[in-house]
Order: sequence, then C-alpha cells, then structure tokens
Amino acid sequence: MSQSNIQQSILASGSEREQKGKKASKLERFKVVFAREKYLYLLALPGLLFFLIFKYFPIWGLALAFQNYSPYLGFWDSEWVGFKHFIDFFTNPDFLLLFRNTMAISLMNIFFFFPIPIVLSLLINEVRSMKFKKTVQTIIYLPHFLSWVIIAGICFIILGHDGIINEIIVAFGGQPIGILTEPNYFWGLLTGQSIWKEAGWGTIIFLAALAGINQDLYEAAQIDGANRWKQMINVTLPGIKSTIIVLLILRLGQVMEVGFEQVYLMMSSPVSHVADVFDTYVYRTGIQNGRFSYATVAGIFKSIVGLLLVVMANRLAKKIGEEGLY
Amino acid sequence: MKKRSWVTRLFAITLTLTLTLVGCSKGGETTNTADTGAAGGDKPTEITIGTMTYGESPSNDLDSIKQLNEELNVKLDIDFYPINSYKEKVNALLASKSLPDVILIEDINDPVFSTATEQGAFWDLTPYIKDYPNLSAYPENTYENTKFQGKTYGIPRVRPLDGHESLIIREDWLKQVGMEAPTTMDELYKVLEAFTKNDPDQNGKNDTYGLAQASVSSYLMSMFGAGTNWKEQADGSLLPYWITEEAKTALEFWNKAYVDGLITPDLPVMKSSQVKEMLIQGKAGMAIANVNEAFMFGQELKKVNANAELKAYEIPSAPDGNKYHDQAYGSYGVFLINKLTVDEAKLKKILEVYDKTASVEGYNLVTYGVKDVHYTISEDGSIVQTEEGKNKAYGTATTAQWISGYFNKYQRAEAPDMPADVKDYNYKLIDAIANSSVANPAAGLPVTQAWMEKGADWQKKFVDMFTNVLIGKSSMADWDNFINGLKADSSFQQHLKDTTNSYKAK
Amino acid sequence: MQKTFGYKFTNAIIYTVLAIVGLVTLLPFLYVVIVSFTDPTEYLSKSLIIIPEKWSISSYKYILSTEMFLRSLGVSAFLAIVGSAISIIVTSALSYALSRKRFFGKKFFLLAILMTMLFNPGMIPNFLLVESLGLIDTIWSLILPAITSAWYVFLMKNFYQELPDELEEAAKIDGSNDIGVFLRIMLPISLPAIAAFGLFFAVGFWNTYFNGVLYINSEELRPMQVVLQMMLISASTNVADPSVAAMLQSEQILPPETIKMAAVVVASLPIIMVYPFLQKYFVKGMLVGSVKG
Repeated sequence: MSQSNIQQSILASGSEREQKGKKASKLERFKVVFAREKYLYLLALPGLLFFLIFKYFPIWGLALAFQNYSPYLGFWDSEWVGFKHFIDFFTNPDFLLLFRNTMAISLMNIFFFFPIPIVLSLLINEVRSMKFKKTVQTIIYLPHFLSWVIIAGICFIILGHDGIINEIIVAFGGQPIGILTEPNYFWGLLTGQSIWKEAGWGTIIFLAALAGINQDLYEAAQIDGANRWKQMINVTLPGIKSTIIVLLILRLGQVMEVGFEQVYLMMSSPVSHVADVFDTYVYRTGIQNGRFSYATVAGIFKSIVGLLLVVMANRLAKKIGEEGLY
Repeated sequence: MKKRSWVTRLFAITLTLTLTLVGCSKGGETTNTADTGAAGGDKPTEITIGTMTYGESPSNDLDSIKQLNEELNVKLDIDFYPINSYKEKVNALLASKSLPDVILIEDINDPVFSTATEQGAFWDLTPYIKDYPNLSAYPENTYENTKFQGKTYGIPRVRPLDGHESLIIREDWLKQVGMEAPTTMDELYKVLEAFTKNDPDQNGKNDTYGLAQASVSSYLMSMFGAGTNWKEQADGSLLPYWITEEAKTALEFWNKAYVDGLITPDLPVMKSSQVKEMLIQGKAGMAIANVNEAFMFGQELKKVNANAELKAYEIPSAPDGNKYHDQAYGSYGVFLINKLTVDEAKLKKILEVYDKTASVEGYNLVTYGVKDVHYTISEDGSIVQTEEGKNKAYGTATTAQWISGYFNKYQRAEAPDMPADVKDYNYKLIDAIANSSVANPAAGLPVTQAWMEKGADWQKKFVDMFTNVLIGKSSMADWDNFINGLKADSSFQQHLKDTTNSYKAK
Repeated sequence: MQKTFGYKFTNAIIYTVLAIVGLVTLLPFLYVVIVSFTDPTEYLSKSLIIIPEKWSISSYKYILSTEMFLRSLGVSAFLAIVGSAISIIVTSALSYALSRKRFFGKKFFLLAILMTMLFNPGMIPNFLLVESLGLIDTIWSLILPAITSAWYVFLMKNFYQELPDELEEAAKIDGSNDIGVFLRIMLPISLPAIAAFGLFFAVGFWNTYFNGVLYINSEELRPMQVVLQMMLISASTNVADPSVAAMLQSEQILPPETIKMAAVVVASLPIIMVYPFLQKYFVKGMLVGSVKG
C-alpha cells in the first residue's frame, strides 16, 4: 500500500467517524428536543397519522403502473410487465398534443386567473362601507357553489347558436358565431369560466390574510404621510406576500391538473384537438377501457412534473429571500 | 380529553390496518370459500344481489320480496347503487373481492369484468339456462348478443329488439307545407328543406329546423345501408360500418343538409335531452327517436300548441331501395353470478328466482307489488300504480332493476294513457320495422386485444372526424385520409383481422 | 382626517369596479333562480326566459317532497358540522406545530406532506384502504379520509408563522404547556383564518359526492349530492334503459331544467346562509389584531 493510499484511508475513516458522530448527535438532539417539546409533537400527531394512513398507505398502489393490473386477480397475482405502459404512454403520437393543451390551459389559468382574487380582495379591503362590502362578498362567493354541470349548461344556453349573445349579435346585423365550437376561443372560454366561478371564492384566503395585518402599521404609515396607494404598496402587499407566494407555489404543483370535469363537459368534436388533455385521455383509455395500470402511469408522470415545479419554485422563492413552502 | 380519544382511535385504526394488510398478503383466496349451504334443507338460501337504481333504493322488506322469499325458500338481500356512478362502484367491489352473489353489469364485454370472467370469476350458465322455461323463452338474439367467447355467462335483462329508431314527424307541419311523410332519402331532403325554409309554423320568421339531432349517431350512417356496427363484405370479411362506401354517401348527404341549415346548428354540443326540447318548443319538425316518444312528446307539445301533432314513421329507404333499421341488442345489462360465493346448489336456486320473475306475474309482483294494494289494472289493460305503491318505491326505475323480466316486443310502442288507435298504429309500425332491421353480425364475438387497448381512442377520433366532416369543418378528403391512416395502422389491421377470423369461425 | 378629492375619486372607482364585478357574477345566478321559479310548461315553450309570465314553486315542491332528499340533507349537514369541527382541530393543531421553528424534523414532515398533494394513488387503492379499516357503509368513511389536505396544512401553517414567538413565551411563563398555549392563545388569535378554513371544510363536506358513491351502500347514509345527482338523472330523458325511459317520460310532467335549477338553489342555500355568521368572526379577528398591539 502506498503512502498516499494509507493517507486516504485514514482520511476516509476519519470522515466516517465524524459522520457517525454527527448521526449520533442528531439522534441525541432529536431525543432531547422530543422530550422537551413532547406536547408540540402531540399536537401534530393526529394530523401526521392522517397523512400516514390515508395518503401514504395507499401509495403502494402506484406499483400497479408496472403491472397488467386486473382487479379480480388483485395486486399480488397480477402480471408484472415492467416499463411497458411507460413506453406506450410516451411513444403515443398524441402525447405532445396532450402536453401542449394541458400546459396551455394551465398557464392561461395562472396568468389570467391567479392575480384576479388578489386584486379583488385589495379592492374589497379598501371599501369602508360594511354594507356594501358584505353584499359584494356574498355575491361573488355564489358561483363557487354551482357545479360544473350547471355552469356548462348555462354556457350552452347563453353562448349557443340561438343563445342570447348570438341574438344580440344578429340584432346588430352580424352573423351568429359558433362560440362553443370555435377552437380559437376554447382556452379563453375555459379561463373565463374559471374566473367567473372561482375568483370571488379565492378572495377569502387573501381577505383573511389581510385581516391579520397589524393595524398599527397603517397608523404608522399614515403618520409618515403615506397616501392610500403607498400604504397598499408598503404595508398591505408585504403583509400578504407570503400567502401569495405559498399559493403560487402550490398552484404550480397542480400545473398538470386542469379540472377534468370542466374540460370534459365543454369538449366537443370541433374543439377536441385543443381540448384533449391528460385527464380526459386517461379517462378515455384508462377508465373507460379498464386499463388501470396505464392510467396510473399518466398519474405518475403528472405528479413528477408537479413535484419538479414545486421544488424549483420553492428554491427560487428562497433565493429571493422568501420563506417558501418548507 | 377530546384529543386523547382521537389519538387512541387513530392508533386503533393503524393497528387494525397493519393486521389486515398482513392478513391479506397471506392469501386472500382462502378467506372466500363458497357457501356450502344446501338448497334442499329447511334453511332458506341467502342470496345477495347488487343492481342499479334510477331513483330511490327500495327496502328489502317489501311485500313482493317477502312473498318470493316464502315461495322459493330463499332470503333475498338486494343492494341498489345509484345509476350515475354505477360502474365505479362495481369496479371497486370487484377489486376488493366483495361482490354480491349476483351482480348486474351493463356490458358483458366491459374490459374490467371480461378479464375477470376469463379468469373464472363467474359461472358459465350455458348448460343451465335450458332447464328454466321462462329464461329460455327469451329471443335467441338476446342470448347471441350477450355471449362472451361463445358462452352465456349472464342472465340478460331482456328488452325489445326494435322500435328505438323511427322518424318522428310534425304531422301538422307536413300538411302546412303540403307534403307526405318521406319514404326515400331524396324526399327526406325535400321535407327537411320545406320545414326549414317554408315557415311551417306560420310565424313569419325563419326560425325552424328540419331535424333536431344531438351529436352524431350510428343511425345517420346505417340508414343508408352502412350496416349495424359491422358489415359483411363480398369476401366474407367484416368492416366497421363507418368504413363502408355507404357511410360516405351518408356523410355527403348530412353534410349538405347541415351546411344548408336544415339541421340544428348546435349539433356538436347538443345533449339528447335537448332534442325533446327543440321539438316541444316547435323549433324542429323531425327527430329520430323511440316509436312511443312520438306520442309522449306529442302530449307535452299539445300543452304548448293544441294543434300540433307528432307521428312516428319508418326510416326512409336508402339509395339502394331498401330500408335499414339497426336492431338493438335485445337486453340492457346482464346479471353475472359470483363463483367465489355461490356453489352449484345455490346457483340453481338463483336461476329459479330469476325464472320465476321472468314471467308476467313474477315481473309484475316484483316491479309493481301486490295487485289491488300497490297497483291496479285499468280497463285498457295497463298498470296504474297506487299511491302506496309509489311510496314504497315500486316501479320500473327501481324494483324492476334487479330482475331480468319478460320479453315484450312492443314495449317501445306503448305508453300510459295511449289511445287504442295510436297503440294499434304503433304495433304495426314495430312489425314493419322488425322486417327491415339488421342485427349486428359481430354480436357475441370476443372483443379483440387491440380494441381493448385502443378502442376508446379510435372511437373518439372517428366521432370527431364524423362530426367535423358533417358540419363542414373538415372535408371529404380529410375523411379519406383519416380512414386510410387507420387502415395503415398495424393494430387496427389486427383488430379487423381478428374480428373477421372469429366471425368466420362462428 | 380630511378626505381629499383624490381619495373620493379612488373610492368612486373602487365602488364602481366592484359593483360591475358583482353584477356580472349575479346575472347568470339570477337566471338560475328565475328558471327555478318558472312555470314548467312556459319554460319548455320558450327558448329564452327573462321574466316568466307565470311563476311557480312546483319544482321546489317536487324536490322537497321526497323523503330521501330530506334525509340526505341531514347526512350532509352532519358531515359539514362534525367533519369541519374535526378538520379544524386536526389541521390547526398540526399546522401550528409545524409553524414553530423548534419543531425538530419540520422540514422532513413538510416535504412528506407536500408529496401527498402530488401523488394520488387512485380509486382502487383508496377503496381497499377504507375497506380494510372497516369503514365501508359508515359515516366515518366520508369524514376520516377527507379530514385535511396538504393544501390546507400549508396555508394554515403560514398564518401561524406570522404570529410572533413572544406571544407563546408569555403564556409559557404562566406555566402552560404547548397544548394549553395552542388552545387558549393561538386558536382565538387565528379566528379569522379558522373561520375561512371552516368555511372551506364545510363546503368540502357539504359537497361530498364521489366518496359517498363508493363507500356508502345503504340509503340512510347517502349524502345530499349523491341523491341530488340521482334526482337530476331521473329528471332527464337520457336513460339507456328503454323500459325506464318510457316510465320516466310519462311520469315526468316537469321539465328537467327547472328542477335542476331548483336543486342547485336548495343545495347552495345553506352554505350561503352560514356565511354571514362566519363573517362576524372575520371582523372580530380583525379587531383582535388591532387591540393586541
């Protein structure tokens, strides 16, 4: 054994020892902290157990992506097929189309939908008349309770060929437009629906965050002579910044989820090349055709994309000096 | 305090879960041994049944159930699951191996259940059915259409074969425009045109359509002779109806009609319930619907417009001079019998129950309850439910869902309160339709592997292309490209080949 | 303080914008309410209803006459009240613990919880779990699997994070442990947030649908949305079974749309009525915020 080799091995064992020590101290520290903070851990216990039982135990189900899963045979007796379904999924000629549509619908949602509840709640926050405030709030929460089935139904009635919008167009001498069947309008139509349905409801979280801002800060700003606009920029926005960032990061994690029900209900043959997304595809091939394993592959793919985006966004948030998610 | 009980509860749950999981992995098979209860003994045979309901879930201590229990020495336990999500429910039951003794599935070829059938989960009923007179009295096509790999696995819930496709027309509009009911496609086109452009409702506005149609349907092609689902070619092979030459003729016809504005323009996004609305609002003069719907929609139409009249006709004849109607499957859903929980003695008992309820008396008992208590029979022979019968949730939408019933060829001709002359006309119409109705040549053939994997996707692409060509967003050249592309697809070729082979072997 | 012209002008703009937003939101909803009160025959005969000539409450009568529907309302109300109460306690306790810097292993747990948001194992594994817990056909199968979600934990943790450590230190000196601090100080202070989350949870439980389909067999335990869907389907003509279709057609004197709309109104009314009650807490929370200084 040469000199350098020996030296290396000494070094290695040294660092090994160091690591062992670190490990031991980590465990020690946990024991100490645990003993000291046992009530804090007790508070967290029911919630943690919930996640363990209801969210982690069923995860073994993801393994059926590697099987030809048959519900009758069950998990243990189904045939294992390795990556077959993954290969089928990624080599499917429609894959890129599905990816494009999913991303387009999702990104339009983030750009156009996401800021609206923030703006709305800032506006509502400026209203001093309690009566007006309450009325506006109650009204804009209403659409949240309508199911997509109903909203799609209302859209078909209002935007259809004989609907009120086209009747107005015709009354002004125009030609009726197939709003529901025009591919160019479809993404916009979906975004519009989401805004109408959920923007008002989305203000609840921001309003609660706004309510939590220390009123002294406003008084201090007023003494400094800050006007309303400046108060909003310097006090209000920083007060809800962390909520905005957390919501945005969480939203990024859901980028591959585009509201199956909504798309499915609004989809029709003329728009299907812009409307078909992963969820509708999975429903068609996985659920209708009973290919559970194949559907699981799509689910895993969606999850991994979401995870990557969340981790990246979180890192970015921390880089610019924010708390982040974790 | 509250918190502690929570913690304990969750701990208990975790423990149970761990134990169950261990138990499961040791072998789920052995826990499900078949009932060995002999049918001949004094003890009533317990039979659990799972089916769907369109309304409430009737209780298990109805008089009808009690009567059956006593008469046949059984103990029936029926679970009703809501129709909207029936498939998900049944899939979950199958997956957890908690299926009842008898389970209704909508389609014998349902991919999830067909795999299980192949793996031996359900009884093969082929050798037994013949011993039960009422069950074996069902039309042969009903059994043919529900065969799985050449064998009968399910008791079909028998339904009429004909009468679901007829042309219902506004009789008063025909008079207004001075025309007769169309008998050929050319005449059909002229009536469509007249109903659209000649102001048949005389309101001075150009606001009517010839035909109310929600999305594309197979009959738009099959009435031109494209075949019912499949069509046999000169060389004995089978082709899907939409690949035939007749299908192209049909497409050209409907495309022209749509572009000329003769069909409801919202066709791609319309729901089938809207067809009825369009008719009742007096916006459309024709639709393709059940024979009895002409009368039923007509009743509602009369409330809006007393002079309006709807009448059902045969579908006009195709360019080759023949009339084509699709023949229905003759059943809606089949009952499978669980091999894990049912032995042969119990199987026979179950078939006895189903044979009993496949008679008119048995059907009426289960569906409507006890005569003169839950229902009465009116002078014209139709059944009228009493208030008590309705309160107990008796009815075709509920109690009738767990039995297979008896075959009534004219079911789609009848409706409550229908005058005798209309009924008479409808019966004759059904007879006429039955003469020209075409059965699906591929019925009962095994579903191909390729279809199981890609069928839903092919189906969607076909429907998209069909719709887009019909409404003029795609051209006939696009259609040809689409068909040629599919024909070049190796798994589609395999699908055609396998289907033809099993057809020839039949 | 003197109100300047600029202040008033901004106010005018804010009020106008909000009024327009409210109006745009309200119109389609108003349409739903109007249709639900329209005479059924009139609805069918006209393509567009703006103000009906004949008002009618027959659609509501139809919906509220079924015992099944009333019972299911009870089930959903139970879910909304009991479920939300459990949800709030479990979620806020966990979020509070995770918001404290001294919670060792915080990062690990948060990441583990976050992961659950991304991986959904699907219907069958979830069903098998609920089944092996012995929860099938019990009301707990609708509550336990829906107690909380990563989404709520992260949001709530964020609220608690903003609360200063001094608050709890003061209480600790008085001899309270963490549970005491949480119950006596943190919960009251976070009332606005809890009111908001309570509403979210309540809406979630009130809208329980798919779990109700999968996990419930007996009619007595079916939640309202399941029954509502059943009523809607039986009120529509799209029925695959010809024998049922004929029956429904003949017995169904009412058109589907007016019933559907009435059902929507009935289903959303309770939550909308609860809201003003919760709003009080929003305001109260605001006051607590300013007083504690």
